[in-house]
Amino acid sequence: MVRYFKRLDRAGNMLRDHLEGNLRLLCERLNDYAVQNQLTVPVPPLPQEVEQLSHALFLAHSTSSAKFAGICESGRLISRARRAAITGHPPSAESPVVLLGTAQCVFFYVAPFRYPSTGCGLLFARSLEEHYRAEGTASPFDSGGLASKLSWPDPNESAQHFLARHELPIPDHRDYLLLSLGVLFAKLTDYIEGIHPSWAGPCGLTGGDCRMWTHEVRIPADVELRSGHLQAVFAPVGRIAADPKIGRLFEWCQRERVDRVTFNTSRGNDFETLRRECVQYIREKFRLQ
Amino acid sequence: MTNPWPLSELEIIGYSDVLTETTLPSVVPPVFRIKVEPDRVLLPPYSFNGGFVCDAAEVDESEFRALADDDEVTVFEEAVPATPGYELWVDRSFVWHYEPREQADGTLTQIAIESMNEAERALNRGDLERAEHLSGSAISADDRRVEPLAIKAAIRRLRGDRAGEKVMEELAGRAVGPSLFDELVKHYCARHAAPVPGHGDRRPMHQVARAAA
Repeated sequence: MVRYFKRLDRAGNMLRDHLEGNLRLLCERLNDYAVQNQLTVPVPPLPQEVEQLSHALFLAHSTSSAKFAGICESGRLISRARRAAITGHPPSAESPVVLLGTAQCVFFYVAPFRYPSTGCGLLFARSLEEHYRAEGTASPFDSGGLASKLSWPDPNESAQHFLARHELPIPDHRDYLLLSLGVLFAKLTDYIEGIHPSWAGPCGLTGGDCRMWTHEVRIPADVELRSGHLQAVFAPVGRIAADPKIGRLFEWCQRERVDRVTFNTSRGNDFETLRRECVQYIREKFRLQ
Repeated sequence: MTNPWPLSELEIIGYSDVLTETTLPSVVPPVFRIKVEPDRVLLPPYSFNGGFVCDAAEVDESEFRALADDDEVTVFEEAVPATPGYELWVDRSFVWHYEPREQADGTLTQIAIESMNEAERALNRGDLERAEHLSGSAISADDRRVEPLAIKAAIRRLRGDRAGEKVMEELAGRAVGPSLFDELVKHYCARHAAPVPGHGDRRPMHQVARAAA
C-alpha cells in the first residue's frame, strides 16, 4: 500500500513538473512576444490593483436553474463524467469534454460568469485552488473552445496536444495572468468586462469570444459548496423563493456570512443580468474604477 | 458577439434554460438559429432593437449540442419562426407559448394574481403546503411582487423556521423595508390563525384609504 502511494506521489510530482515547465515556457513566450511587438514588460511589483486582481480573482461557475437546484440539494459541483454515472446519460462522443479528455473535471473561469445560457452562479475564493493544487490544472483559455471554434497556429497539432502544452499549475497560473494583464490589456478592467486585449498574446488562438483568453481552472474532483471556499452565490429572486433547494443554500449562506447576490430577472435575458451583477460585484470587491 | 440579425431571418430552436416544476411559469430566452445557415446558433446575452437581435453570443451547432447535452438549454422538437414583439414563456404544465409580448405579460400577470388569491385561500384554511406551492407560482410568474414572499415568510414563521423567514425578508428587501415586510407577514400569520369566512380575496392594504378618510 505504501509503495502504491509512493507511486501516486511520483506521478503527482511528474504532473506538477510538467505544468510548471509549461508555465515557465509560457511566461518566456510572453516576454518574447512583448519584445517582438515592442511592448513594455512591466517590472515587478506591478500596480497594486493588478497584483491584487490576478492574485485573488474569484473562480466562477454558472449553470441553468434546474441544474443549480440539483447542485444546491447535493451541496456539490460534480463533473460531467460523474453526472453520467449517476444519470446513466453519458456525454456524446462529439462533446468537447470527451474529445479533450476533461469529462472528469469541474470547470471554473477565473473571471465573471462567462458560460453562455446560464442564470445562476457560484463564486469561489482563490483558496479553492490552494486546496486542489496537487490535482487541479489551469489553461489561459477556455479548453472547450479547442473542440469547435478556436484555431491555433499549427493546424497539424491536435487539440489535445495544444491543451497539454498550455496546461498550467494552480494557483501559479496566476503569475501568467498577472503578466498578461500588465502586457496585453489596455485597461485592467477589460479582462473583467470581457473586452478583447489590445494584443492577442503568445498562445496564438483565434476565432472565439472572450473565453479565448479567459483563464480556466479544472478540478478533477467533486467540489463541496459548504466548504469555506464559497465566496458568493448569485440567483434570481423568483428561483430562490420558489425552489426550496435553492432557498436552503441561501439560508446557509446567510448563517455563514457568504455573500448573496439576488436580482429580478430582466425578461428573457437572465444571463446578461447574471453577468452584469457579477461584474459589478467583482468591481466593488476589488475597488476597480 | 454577432452583428444585428433581423428576426425575420431567424427561427427559434429552444430556450436557454432547463426548468423544474417549482420554477413555472417562466419567461425564457429563446435560442435562435439563422434559417439559411443552420450551423449558426445565437444565444443570450442579446438585446432586441427594431426587429433585430443585437450583440448575441454565437455558437456553432456542435457547441449548442454540447450545451443541450449538458442540460443548459432546452431544445424544441421543431423550429418556430421568430417574430418581432413576441415573448417565449413556459406554463405550469411545461407547455411553451410564443405570443405577442402584451398578451404574454397579461397572461402571466393574471396567473400571478390568481395564484396569490389561491395561496391566500389555502393559507386561510391552514393548507400551508398548497399556499407554499401557489405563492411560488405567483413569484415565478412575476418576481417583482412582494406578497408571495410575505406569504412564504409567514409560512416559515408559523413553522418556526426563522432562517427561512430571514431569506424571504432579504429577497423582499429590494422592494420594501423590513418593518413594512414584517407587517405583511404578521397580516398573513393572523389570517392563518383566524381565517375570515367569505373574505378570502381581501388584500393586506384593503380599505385602508377608506378607513383613514
